[in-house]
Amino acid sequence: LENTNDIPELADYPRAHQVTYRYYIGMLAFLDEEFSKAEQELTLAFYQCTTKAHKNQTRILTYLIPLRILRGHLPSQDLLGRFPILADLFLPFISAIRVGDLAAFDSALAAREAKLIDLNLLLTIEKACELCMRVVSRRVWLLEKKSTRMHLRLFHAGLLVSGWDVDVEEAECLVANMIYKGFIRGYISHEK
Amino acid sequence: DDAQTDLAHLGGTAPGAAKSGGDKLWEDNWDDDDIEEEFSTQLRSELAKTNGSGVMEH
Repeated sequence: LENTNDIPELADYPRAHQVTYRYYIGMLAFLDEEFSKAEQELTLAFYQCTTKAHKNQTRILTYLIPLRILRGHLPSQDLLGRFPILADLFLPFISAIRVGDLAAFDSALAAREAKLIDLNLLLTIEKACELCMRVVSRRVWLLEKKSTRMHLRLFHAGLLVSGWDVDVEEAECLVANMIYKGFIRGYISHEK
Repeated sequence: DDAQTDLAHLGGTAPGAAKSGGDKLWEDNWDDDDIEEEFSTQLRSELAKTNGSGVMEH
């Protein structure tokens, strides 16, 4: 579609049509796991959508909110207040992320699994768990007075306290993954 | 009709739009540096339990 140049510019169409077009392009990108493109199109769709089309705005946000959460932008009270259905769906995850409560995140996931599968959102929300883990690590780091050298044991204990019963090796693996993904800056060094 | 979008609210031009301008719909800086006592206590007790094991430095 984007490669055709014999159709008029998108901006020449009525705004409502632009919104619909961007919504579908965004959804296609989402399903193709092109998350940054999906976020861009859905953001434009949401902001151009008339606030009277509440159902359509809800549809757009159902995907836009998880995409933004993945990038660390949480929907505010203002936004969720306008869309109670979405608050119901996402608020438990958002609260868990804010305080780094992995147990709460997991139970929210278990309770909403079927719904999230229907919406094709399960994997996306599961990914947001990394953000929750990051908060756990951050709190451990804060308790260590932002130390630049930290024992892996500390992160392990943090995960245990937060509700993940993992062993030391698994904790190391999770920390390594977070470093790789850029959630933590650092490296792991094994010393005698 | 164009005024009734969140985009219009973003520019602060629509009636009833957020006065301060900008967007109140998303929060970027939600990391806070306060940790409640409980987490700290639990972490210490967890560490006490596992003390002595593990040789990895980060």
